[in-house]
Amino acid sequence: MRLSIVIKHVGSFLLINSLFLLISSFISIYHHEDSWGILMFSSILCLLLGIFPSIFVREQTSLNIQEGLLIITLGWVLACLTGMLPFYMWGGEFNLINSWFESVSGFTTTGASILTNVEALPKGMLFWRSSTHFIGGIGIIVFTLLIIPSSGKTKFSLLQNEFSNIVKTSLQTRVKNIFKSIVIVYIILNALLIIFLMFAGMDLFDATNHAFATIATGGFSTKNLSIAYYDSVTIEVIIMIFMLISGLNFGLLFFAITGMPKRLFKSPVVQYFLIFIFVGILLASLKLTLDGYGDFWWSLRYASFQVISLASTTGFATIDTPNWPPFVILLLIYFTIQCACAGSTAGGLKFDRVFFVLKSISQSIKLILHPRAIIRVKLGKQNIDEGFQMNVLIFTITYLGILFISTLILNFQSVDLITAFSGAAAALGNVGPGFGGVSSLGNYNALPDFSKFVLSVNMLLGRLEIFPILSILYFRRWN
Amino acid sequence: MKPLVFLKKIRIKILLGFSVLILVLLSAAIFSIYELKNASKKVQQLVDNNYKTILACESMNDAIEMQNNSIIILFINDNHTNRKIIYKSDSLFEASLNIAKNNITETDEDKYVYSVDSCYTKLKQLNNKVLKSRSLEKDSLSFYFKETYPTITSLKIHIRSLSSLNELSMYKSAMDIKSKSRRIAMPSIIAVISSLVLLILLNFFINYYFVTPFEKIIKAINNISPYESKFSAGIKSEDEFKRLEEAIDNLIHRINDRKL
Repeated sequence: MRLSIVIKHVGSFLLINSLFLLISSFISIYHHEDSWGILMFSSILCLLLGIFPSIFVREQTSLNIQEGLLIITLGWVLACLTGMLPFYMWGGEFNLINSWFESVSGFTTTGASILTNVEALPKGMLFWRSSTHFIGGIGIIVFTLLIIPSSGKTKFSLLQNEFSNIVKTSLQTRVKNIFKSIVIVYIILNALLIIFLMFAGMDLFDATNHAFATIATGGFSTKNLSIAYYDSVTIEVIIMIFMLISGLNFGLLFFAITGMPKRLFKSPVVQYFLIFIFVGILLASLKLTLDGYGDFWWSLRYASFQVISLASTTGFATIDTPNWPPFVILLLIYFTIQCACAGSTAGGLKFDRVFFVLKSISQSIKLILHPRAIIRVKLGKQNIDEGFQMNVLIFTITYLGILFISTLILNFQSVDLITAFSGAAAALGNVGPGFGGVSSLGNYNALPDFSKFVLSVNMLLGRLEIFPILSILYFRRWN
Repeated sequence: MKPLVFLKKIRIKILLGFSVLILVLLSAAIFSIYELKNASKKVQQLVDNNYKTILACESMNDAIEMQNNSIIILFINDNHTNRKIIYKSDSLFEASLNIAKNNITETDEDKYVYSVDSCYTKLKQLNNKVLKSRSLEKDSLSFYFKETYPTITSLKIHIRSLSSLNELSMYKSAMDIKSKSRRIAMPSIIAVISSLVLLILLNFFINYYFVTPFEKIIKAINNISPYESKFSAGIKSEDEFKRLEEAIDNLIHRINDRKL
């Protein structure tokens, strides 16, 4: 373990923070806001802390897997720590734990907020808040690896953790190309969404912030009422389409953009993901109509937005959902746990794993009926090996175990069951809004401080796919 | 990306390391001073913008009270002193109103001042009627309760509104100053924590990159055997340590050549 190399790479994450803090500071200066100084100071601090290790540490061509794991974990934690500085210095609703929660929520693209009045924040601060989504969405690791030239082996080891292992099987492209394709797709989608939202009536500032939050599947809005503020079907449809796109594998999206859309739609994971969402929307709309919440079109409008918002792990809202029928709430909680596809900007369990678990159940039933048969789980035409299948099952069990434990901890602090469970699921899945006290138009401010900390750990676990963080516990064995 | 040439020198590295440390502290100091200046500006604004008007409102209230009392006393005993008090309180009110008029700093404050002004003009006209009447009889008393008293009440409400507007703004400014005071302290605290982290890192790097090579060279010198032709301490950097290793290697070569 070469600690100096780890420190150098972790430090370079701060340079990205520094750049976006500087832009936020300029926005504050443009709008004559008080916050420019805080943002500028944070930017300078990140820059200095970021370049400090580079003075001493020599260039290295390769990293080993342990170093990669430590860089990922420390990088995210350090990005969140420095990201909270502007919030904490600003004060108001931002005390120490609230600043940490907001920063982690931003970088992990969760979008859960503690702010009761978002609109009271200066524009520079709002832009920084959305920037944390932008940075988190693309993955600081991807950024850093594009900036720091390292060997292909290094990139591969980091890719394994930044994106799910599943990406490798559903996308057989060279690792270098995956990084490039992700960055290109990400920037194109952001630019397109900004243009579309401006055409739909948003100003440049709001369009940029909402684009950052949508493509990163984050969910921070510049309005207290989130997307409900605009009350515009056009804006809702545009955001729904882009939320759906952002929930798909970015590598496959790259093929679709470069003239090979068949590869996207032929992917069984994508097909089933879209079917699940379609069925979810249909069931929710029907239930809302039958229970007299509104006519079918009203139900379709709001149900489709909520289902896509939660299934893509974005967390935007057009309506407050706690009063909806329990059936619909349970359906939405399912989508909160399921999350979006691997290789997207979404975190959490990921639909691919749900898909493999369902396939594994089907395989087990078939094996009971035909004990001597050789039945393998397939992804399209590709056979999936048992080791990989086992990894998916272990991950799923661990994920659900963490969800259960964090719900228990929240319950212990007298948080009601629905708030505790949905909040823990929303944090672990990097979704954002839950139900009960943390519903789509609500916030996490009222939760006890320790609950907020537990949820922030959940967010990091969900974003970093659990095992890189847990592997830190085995640090002694690394040597 | 190739490392910069000047970063190959140890003294430059150490200098840069300490420069970063100094810059962190310096930026915190600059930012704190900026926020401190801002906060003192806010305090000055608070006094200039709001407190002056609040004091003027208090004076206006006192003036009205004096006027009102004198008018009532006038009904009982019409004497010169009472009339003098009324004229005196009028000039006090006008002076206070002028302060408020010349200190319009809040949104819609001009409307509040205009309401006070117009209401006082009306009161003045009513008072003049009383003062000009030759005999203060029962009719005048009923005139007071019908016309003057409601106008005084209305004027007091307008003054109260003007004062409240400034009090609210003052409260907001005070809260702003409170958060600014936090912003004055925070950079220093953050800079101290960052500097501590940087010092720990600096200590680590000095140990790793400067002390370890020394130890390697000392160990290699101690282990060198007679007539050994090549000296190597395993220095991988391209800084002064590499040059020292090469210099020792040259020295050994020269000693060996002399021996031969």
